[in-house]
Amino acid sequence: MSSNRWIEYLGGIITVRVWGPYPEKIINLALSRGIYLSDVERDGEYLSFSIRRNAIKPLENLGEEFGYEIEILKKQGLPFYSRVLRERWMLIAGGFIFVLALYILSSFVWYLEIRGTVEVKPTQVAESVARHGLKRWAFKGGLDKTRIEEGILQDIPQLFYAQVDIKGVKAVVKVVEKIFPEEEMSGPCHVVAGRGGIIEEMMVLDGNPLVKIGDTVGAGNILISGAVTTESGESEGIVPVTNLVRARGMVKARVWYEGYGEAPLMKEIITLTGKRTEGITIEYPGGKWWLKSPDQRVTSFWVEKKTYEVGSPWGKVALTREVRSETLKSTEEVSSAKALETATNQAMENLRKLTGQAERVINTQVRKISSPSEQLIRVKVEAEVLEDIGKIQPINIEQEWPQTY
Amino acid sequence: MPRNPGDKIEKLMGDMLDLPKDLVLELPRLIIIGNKELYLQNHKGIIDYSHELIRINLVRGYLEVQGESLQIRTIIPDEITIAGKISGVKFIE
Repeated sequence: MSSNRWIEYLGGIITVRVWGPYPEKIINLALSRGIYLSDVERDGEYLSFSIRRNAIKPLENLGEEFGYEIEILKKQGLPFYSRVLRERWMLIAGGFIFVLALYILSSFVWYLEIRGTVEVKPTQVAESVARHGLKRWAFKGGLDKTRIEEGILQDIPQLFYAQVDIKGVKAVVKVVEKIFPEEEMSGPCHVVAGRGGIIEEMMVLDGNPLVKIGDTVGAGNILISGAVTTESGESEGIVPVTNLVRARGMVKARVWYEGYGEAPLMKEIITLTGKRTEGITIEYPGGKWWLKSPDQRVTSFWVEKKTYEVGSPWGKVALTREVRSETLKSTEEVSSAKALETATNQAMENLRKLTGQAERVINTQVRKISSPSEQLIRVKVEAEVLEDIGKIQPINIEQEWPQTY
Repeated sequence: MPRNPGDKIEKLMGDMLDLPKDLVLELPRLIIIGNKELYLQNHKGIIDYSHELIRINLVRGYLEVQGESLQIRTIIPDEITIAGKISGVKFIE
């Protein structure tokens, strides 16, 4: 139906049947009176057409004047439904109440989602936006997004950016946190050993070295002290002065790492039998309903799931289709050479993760540690590497020099 | 062709000023969409109407539309729309 027809439908359309001498004449007479005709049909001596509701009186007058019989066949359009609508006023009222309820309910925030938090707790952001009016069941009309965004940034200084999006009944608060540069220790510090080893190279830029090349040190031992004592031997009676500095330098040492790996001598193999069974479930808040149950005889299987989720005011509703492919487990014997190779590779891989920071690997040694009675091969790989073990540690003045504090 | 002196003057003026003839001489303006729809302006009423033949009165002569299942879709004082399977259109003086 064209837009013009819709407009006519609103005004009302009457379909009539006309018969009399020379029916074409009534068309021309109607046109001369400015009556708009549509869907003109000729059926023998009858002529039927549609006219606007307000044209029925002039047409009837024409019929009387020129001797044509006019019969109303059909009445269409909104004006003719008014009686029906008056009789069913509850239906109209119900529809109106429904639209009104929908409008009122959609004027509130039903859900609040906070995205982008890493260090800052989402509850902290939620509390902040609540202070500025955005919370569950808040009226959307009274919310000023710009004011809320500015308020969040003022409340939580760790945030760099905040954006409030209200779509429908859901409010989404997106935040981006600030990334602060790592603070460099500027106060007095020692250089201590991060791990134990034998010192190979040493270069002191600032501070007092407490170890020398060839010394064995343990983790936590002070390598370069931040306490520098200036001794005055020229005149007696002058008390040595201790200055606290930020010790700087490089201490390279030989350190040892261990990597462990194992491989079974019996390998479990899972093969697909080719039998498949399908299950379809509907998950709703508080329950799950199987639309189609999978074959329960298939007990050992590999499952492939596809889920379609839809949000609702009561929670998520998910339709899941799962296909279970039956599997069969069997065991296979692995040769000890192959198991040893697998275990060694695993141990080397673990070792590489530990020695990733090392400057140079000096020596590597592989040791088989499993006993013949064991059903697996266990391997330990030891690596001797050269690395900088120095680690900055602030001086606790209160503990180390209580008299100067 | 113009029949009276008034028409001749109208035609002459129309030619001189390059005016559309459907406006100056009330000649029919016809649009046919495939063989399915015919749209006509400047008609002067219906002479004959059946599913196979519609004769439409014009200022001079009449127009014959032949076809099958012909139907007058809309008709107002100046315009008419005919739908159906049109097989021929003929101007008759």
